[in-house]
Amino acid sequence: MSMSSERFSALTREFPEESKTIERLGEMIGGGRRREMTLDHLILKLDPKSNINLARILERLVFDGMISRDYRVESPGNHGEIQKFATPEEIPNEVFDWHTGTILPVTARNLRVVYSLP
Amino acid sequence: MDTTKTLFELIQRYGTVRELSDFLQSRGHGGGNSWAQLIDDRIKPALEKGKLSLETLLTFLRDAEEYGRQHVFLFRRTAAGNSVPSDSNVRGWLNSVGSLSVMDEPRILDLPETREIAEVRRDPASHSEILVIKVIERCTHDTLLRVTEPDDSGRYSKEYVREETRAVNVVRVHQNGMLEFRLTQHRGASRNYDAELRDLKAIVSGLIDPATLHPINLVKAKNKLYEKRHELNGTVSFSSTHIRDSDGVSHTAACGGQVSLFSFSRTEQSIATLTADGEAYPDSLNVWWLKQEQKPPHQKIHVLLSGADNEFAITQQCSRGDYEHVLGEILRFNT
Repeated sequence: MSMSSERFSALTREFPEESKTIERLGEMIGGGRRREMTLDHLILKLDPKSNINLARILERLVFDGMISRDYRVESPGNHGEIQKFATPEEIPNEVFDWHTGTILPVTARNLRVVYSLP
Repeated sequence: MDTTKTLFELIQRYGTVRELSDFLQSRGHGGGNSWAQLIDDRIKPALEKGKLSLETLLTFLRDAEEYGRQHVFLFRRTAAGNSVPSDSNVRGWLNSVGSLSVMDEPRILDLPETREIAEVRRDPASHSEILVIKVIERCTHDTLLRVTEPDDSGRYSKEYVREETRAVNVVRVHQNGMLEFRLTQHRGASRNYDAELRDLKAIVSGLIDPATLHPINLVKAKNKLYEKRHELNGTVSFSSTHIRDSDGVSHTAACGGQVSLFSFSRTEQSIATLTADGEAYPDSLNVWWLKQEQKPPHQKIHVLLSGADNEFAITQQCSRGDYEHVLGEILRFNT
């Protein structure tokens, strides 16, 4: 049994009501297409019983290094990425928004958590 | 300022002559075509004769000032039993914050020095009741008037005018565990309501533990509105959308408010192609609930489904009926 299938089995034991969600997530991760997805997008794709459960499952996978989580600072006008940060501590108070050529204060409104699925 | 005078001023600020005339006529006091006629000839004599009460006028003000021009944040409360706190809990909390009197006698406030709980009441709802907490606040808004030319030393100045505005913030607690935190929309460009939401939660924290509140994510409502865009033709019109895809690319499409974005075949085709395989979704929508005959909404209602996961905004003043309709539709689409 591979490490990833062991991991997904363990997740199914921990979140039995989310077995379908975990199965679909496993298919996406092993699907050969790299994706960058918000929690909202994953909610729509996976249709979990509980959004909180899905967030917990994703955090377990981030901890195990099977997926990564980044903090994406976006330009308020077009939502284009300005820069990604691996941890909240790395996020500066201001960034240069090269989409508009202005200095942008970083607030919750222009910050998105994104999960990268290999 | 005396309470009656303040009430008259607020009614004129938030209501219209037509609305007040209809309100008075429906209660047998006669209507009118001007504020002076309605207040001096209809309301004042009726108040003096005891045929009309301030409480009745307050119901008019509630409907006029509490709905619309707000950013609404939806939460689900995870607490055992009925989510609506009992009368004794409400009284205990109000007593602890020195506002017990509002339970029996609402405060009619214009621009209080500090943020004030103006009213706590129970509104009837279908087969249930809703606890309503109203908080009035004085806010300031600065408008740039002019910028002077730099002098010889390069100094220049900016002149602002500061305006005081009134914020009517409302918390509603439903029996099914849902809570609405409704914040008066900013007059300036700021789209960030985090501080106001935190403050409002703090005000009611003695009654509702913020740790028991979980945001109601509205992504399913946005997605279903988008998926049913053709079916909703004549009911909902779309002015802009921001589509986010799994490559990390953002796509924005926008048009004017008099047409629907998806009535343009090239736009419809482009966005449908993006979303066809589920690798892209509508992260935000700018929509209008269109006026209907003989049913709500009775006017065209502009709604922003954007911002925080659990946030929507109604950018114009509206009636309670129209607000409840839009809220109900958003919740229906969110399942």
